Amino acid sequence: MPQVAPHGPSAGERLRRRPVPTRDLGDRIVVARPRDGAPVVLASTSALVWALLTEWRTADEVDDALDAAFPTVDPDERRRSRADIITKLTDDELLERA
Amino acid sequence: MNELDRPAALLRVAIGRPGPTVPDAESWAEWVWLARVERVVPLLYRLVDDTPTDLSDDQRADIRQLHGAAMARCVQLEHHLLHISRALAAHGIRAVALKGGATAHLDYPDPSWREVSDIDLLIDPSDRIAATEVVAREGWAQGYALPKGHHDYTHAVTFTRDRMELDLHQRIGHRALGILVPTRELLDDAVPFEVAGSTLLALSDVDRMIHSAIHALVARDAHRRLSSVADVLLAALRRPDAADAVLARAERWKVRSLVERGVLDAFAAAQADVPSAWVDAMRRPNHHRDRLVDRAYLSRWRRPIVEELAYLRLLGSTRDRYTYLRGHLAPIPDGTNPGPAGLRAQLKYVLAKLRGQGD
Repeated sequence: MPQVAPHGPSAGERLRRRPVPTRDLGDRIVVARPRDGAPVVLASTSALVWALLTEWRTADEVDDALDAAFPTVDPDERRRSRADIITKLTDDELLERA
Repeated sequence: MNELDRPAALLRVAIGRPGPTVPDAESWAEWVWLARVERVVPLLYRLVDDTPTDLSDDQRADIRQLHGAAMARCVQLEHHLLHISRALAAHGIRAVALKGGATAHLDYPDPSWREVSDIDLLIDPSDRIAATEVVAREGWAQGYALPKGHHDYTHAVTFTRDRMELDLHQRIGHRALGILVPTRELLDDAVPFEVAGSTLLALSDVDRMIHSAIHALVARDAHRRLSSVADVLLAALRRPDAADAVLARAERWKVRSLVERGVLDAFAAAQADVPSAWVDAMRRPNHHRDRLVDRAYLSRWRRPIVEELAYLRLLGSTRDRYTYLRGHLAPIPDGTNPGPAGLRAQLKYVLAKLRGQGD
């Protein structure tokens, strides 16, 4: 069982991105951190998660979407990546939880 | 290739037209320099992305990095634009986003096509003191002192914070242009648009076009950026059916000749034909013009004395004229006035101001 990062969502918890200024950089996205406006660049996988979180989603739903996008990646590795990304987005106060 | 082809190529990206030239490995440094100075890095990024070139991987990485840096700056500025707009609204102050802060979202295919280098907000002149206090409480400091008594006459006050710039405009143009184009009408006709879940105000389509054209025309030479010219092109091409309305409103304000010149210059810079709707609208006779303003702003070279005369003529009263002129001759209050005291130094200072772009 992969270890979930400290800020990972609990079971059934839903996540959504906060409305912040963003710009498309091709396969990356740059967003403004809510507390001070500092730019945060999201690399391609993070940018995909960010796009998914336009709507409220559970971690499982994010995993399913990543599964479809990266079918050859080991599921455990995928979950770890997702957890790391969610942790990073949470640390930058870029997510809402419900 | 002549020296005007590169600017034209960058401008044509904004309107989706190829040519007249493309970047190559040999002249890459000059392209990058032009795009940075003219604040159109996103357009160079698009051009390289969409066009076959002989650029190396390093050169392609260059423009990706530059575009990323420009967009990082944009989201940071936009964060503060939202913050300041909310703070002003909380104090009952209407503020309208000007230039790239609005055009990026309203006129370009995607906001990432428009580089923004500062925050520009338009407020009612009667709100200037209150707005200045709000902005100061948010940590912004006035960037430079104005001449004594000039606060009522300046078209904008500049504030700085953390290497960012905020221009609080009480008029959309310098001197006479600020009087001819009435701020309150612009504010009354402002339209909402959404950024990051928040509602901001922008000038209406017609007024945004008028402002873009005047700004691109009046910001001469080193102060004119291709980003401003691209705003004119996009507005004119995306809304050709608005040509009549734009020119009618501009004519009512006696700035139609300036708007027409701004549009013509923009299409000339892009080496593109002016849309027929604009050509037809421009054929209609112009019955309301201010000939002194036309003389001040339509010549090839800046005419600072004529600009001042055109302004003085439009100022409401003798007292206003006296106060404005006295401000030019008085030392700037915070000690930034150059040189030793004395008539000669003061005259040199006034001449420098007349040659420069400030109020």
